[in-house]
Amino acid sequence: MRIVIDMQGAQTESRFRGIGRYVSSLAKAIVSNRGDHDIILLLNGLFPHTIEQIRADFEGLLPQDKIRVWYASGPVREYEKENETRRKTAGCIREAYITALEPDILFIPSLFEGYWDDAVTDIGELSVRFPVAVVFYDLIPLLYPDLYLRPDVIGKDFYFRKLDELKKATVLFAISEWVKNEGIKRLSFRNDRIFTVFPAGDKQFRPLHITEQQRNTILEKYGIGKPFILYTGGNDRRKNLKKLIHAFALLPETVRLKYQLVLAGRMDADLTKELIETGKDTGIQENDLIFPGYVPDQELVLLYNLCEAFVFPSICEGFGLPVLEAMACGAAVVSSNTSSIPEVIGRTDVLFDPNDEKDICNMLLKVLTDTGFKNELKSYNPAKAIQFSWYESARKAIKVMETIVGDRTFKKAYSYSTKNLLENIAKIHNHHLTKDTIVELSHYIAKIPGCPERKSRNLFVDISELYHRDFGTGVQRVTKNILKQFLENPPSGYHVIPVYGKIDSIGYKYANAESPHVHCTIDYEAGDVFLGLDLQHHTTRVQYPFLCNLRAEGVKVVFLVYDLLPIQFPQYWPAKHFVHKIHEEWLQVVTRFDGAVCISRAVAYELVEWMKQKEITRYRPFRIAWFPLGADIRNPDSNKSIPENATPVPFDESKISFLMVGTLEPRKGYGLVLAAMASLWQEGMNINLVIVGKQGWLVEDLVKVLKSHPEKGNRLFWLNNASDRLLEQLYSSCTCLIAASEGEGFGLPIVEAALHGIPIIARDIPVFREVAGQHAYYFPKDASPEQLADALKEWVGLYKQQKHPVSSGIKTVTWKESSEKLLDIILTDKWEYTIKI
Amino acid sequence: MKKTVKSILRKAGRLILKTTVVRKIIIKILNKAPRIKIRLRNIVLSDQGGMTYDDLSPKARNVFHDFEKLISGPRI
Repeated sequence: MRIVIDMQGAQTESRFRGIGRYVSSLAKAIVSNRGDHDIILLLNGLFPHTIEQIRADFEGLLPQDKIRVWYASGPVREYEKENETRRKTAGCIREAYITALEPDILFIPSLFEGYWDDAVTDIGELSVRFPVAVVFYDLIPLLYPDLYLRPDVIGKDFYFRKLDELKKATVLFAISEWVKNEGIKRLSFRNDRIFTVFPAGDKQFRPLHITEQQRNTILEKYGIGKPFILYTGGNDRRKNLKKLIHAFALLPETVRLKYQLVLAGRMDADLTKELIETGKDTGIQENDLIFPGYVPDQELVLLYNLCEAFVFPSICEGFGLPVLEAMACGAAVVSSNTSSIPEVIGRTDVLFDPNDEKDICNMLLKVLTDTGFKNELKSYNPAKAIQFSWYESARKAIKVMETIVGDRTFKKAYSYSTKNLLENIAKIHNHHLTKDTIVELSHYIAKIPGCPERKSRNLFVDISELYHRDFGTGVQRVTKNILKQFLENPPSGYHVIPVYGKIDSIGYKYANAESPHVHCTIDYEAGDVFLGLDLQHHTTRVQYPFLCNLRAEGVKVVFLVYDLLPIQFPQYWPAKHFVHKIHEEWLQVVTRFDGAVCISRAVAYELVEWMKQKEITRYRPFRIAWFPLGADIRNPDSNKSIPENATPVPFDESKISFLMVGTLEPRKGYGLVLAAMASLWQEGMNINLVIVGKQGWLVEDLVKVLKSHPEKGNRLFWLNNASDRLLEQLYSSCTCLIAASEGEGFGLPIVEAALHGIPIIARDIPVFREVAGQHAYYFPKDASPEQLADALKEWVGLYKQQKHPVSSGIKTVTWKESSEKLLDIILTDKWEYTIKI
Repeated sequence: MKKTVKSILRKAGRLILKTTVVRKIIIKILNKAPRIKIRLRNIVLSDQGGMTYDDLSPKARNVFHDFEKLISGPRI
């Protein structure tokens, strides 16, 4: 059975009230108890700021692609009459979206939404297509028309319209027996179509051991200086707070002066003023009547635990969640004897008549002065509260839904059709739509999932930098090789789609020139994966909102992180380019998404440390893993031949030749090696130094030295334009690789040297240790030219005796293996670290 | 007016704009007023609003064409 749960009640302002808590708690319990049932949570895209929180709430309980988002043009709130066309259009899109999900049953836990907020929760035509279950909270406005349905009360029409919608439901879940009976009595609902599904308290509401410091802090915060009587909830007239204040004032002065009355909760300011006036009129001291306003749950649980008594004088409640929460915390609860409250409390000796001040006063006096009675309540209440459990409620709800779905009367007889949807929308607009409106609506309608469900997902591979230009950098070599492997060996169940972004427009585009959709913005759906393979700082930052949309809609967004070098070594990049800042901002964007795959364990560790240091706040955990880069240098993909103007290298078999590979930049240690070699040449050692790499930045002095060096062309060779093929030859002809860099993301030359079987001399830094292990000769991390010269001499000695470390033990992987490992991480979630901040 | 725009821009850490057109105008102003310390990279585009046909995905383009056909076609 597929249950689609409309989660809008957890997105609107209701999320701050009991209804929102009911929606998300029951949905969580249903998800946890779903067994073989397929659950899809449906969110409204007009509440973008709530999506991430809800996804986080269900992290680990439900796959993210089971949380779907529909979109429409807003605002649509019914309060503003000018929204009517948009609201109706949004209703059509929502209905089509739900239909396209092909539910066996639709569950709407909060139907009365959309007056003040941009929610659209109508049943409309849906109950004709499949059964619809709705939570039925109460009929309080209908029972108290003088309070809620007076001619001057706004939203009356909305209420009656929603009541009509409620009647369309196939089945109702009443939140108490009292509500169920009201539904049968006043809405003529059939007894076998309305079931009681009680709410329960959140687990955090329980008896606590509170330290003296915690106690003092919370009491001081809210100005509570005496033992106190607590109430929590709203302050609308139905809550009967005026009577409570009168009753408090009626307490014998010897008792009353010992206590404060604390009325906590989000309250209407004008009504609060009235209550303060009532307090003054009845002679209650100003300090003895406290209105702390909204109290967050983690503090509310402390107040429940600390109060002398909890009082709930409401005239009418659908359930009375504060009563249950207070009971769960072991508070001594006394309450009104009306509506659903006796069901929650389960005993009569704590109830009073809310219309009788004297009765309220007597009950307060009893609980404050009769220690035996109070203590008995404190031990009874938590045990009673436990009987209300979301687990049981969810099981009951699922059972009812199973029965309804099994009933042949509700067989699906409809499927989603774009044509019908467009016709309905055109009718709403009287066939007068501007081009802009059609564009916007088309964008939203295209997000409706296809029917039948697609069989394979998309793996979008961002190659933005490579798409625009190929500088032949290390990152681009990785991008090319990984993409090639992905395209040649696509993962099962996925289409590999290369995409690119630009810095002057939002949206990633199809990059495949052979595709008819090249340069079009990508189509994506929940369950797809976006991999930021290429490194393009500016593009990623500009595309941040688009990537956020991808993630909000259930696409997994992960990035490759090559290194943190500009942050670790800012001095090695030109200050005017702000590379370290740009890199840091890029990382800030990357770490807002789902995960990062680093090119070595060292980089992964550095990223973990950086995130801890930056204290990046997130709802969902961020995941980090690492994978080894490949090296298929034996089959270079370069078609270039050896450049005619390339400097020939005179390799004398008897001469030792040291090879250095990489762009000339300060971090790479070329200056250090050159200085060490100069001193060895001066000592008469007949050895070569071969440098392969383009000129980078901040190396003008080094380049001058290389160009005018007396050993140039003799024992010193610099090839700044070597093809992959020439590099191949050099690896085969040189004696040893020197990896002198102060920092690297991986150290590809080490792997390439190992593939060619030449030994390696490396600086002792973590990433080289990780890649080469014990199979390289290391020189100290902070070596001076003299120390390096000594190290090279020592190595030559070892080499001549054939006692030097050999590189054959270095584990290398092919690009195929490398890309398979990467896919394994991102598609099957094989992460190493989980950062929860 | 121009002065006000400059003053707003100077105070803004990051501008999130709805359209490419506005972005281009602001960049033009910035180029003429180099003393305004806001970098190009801090002017970003939002994903909402100002959407044109060119911004649509292939699936959305199909919907667009169906929509146009429906509206321009004979009505009952």
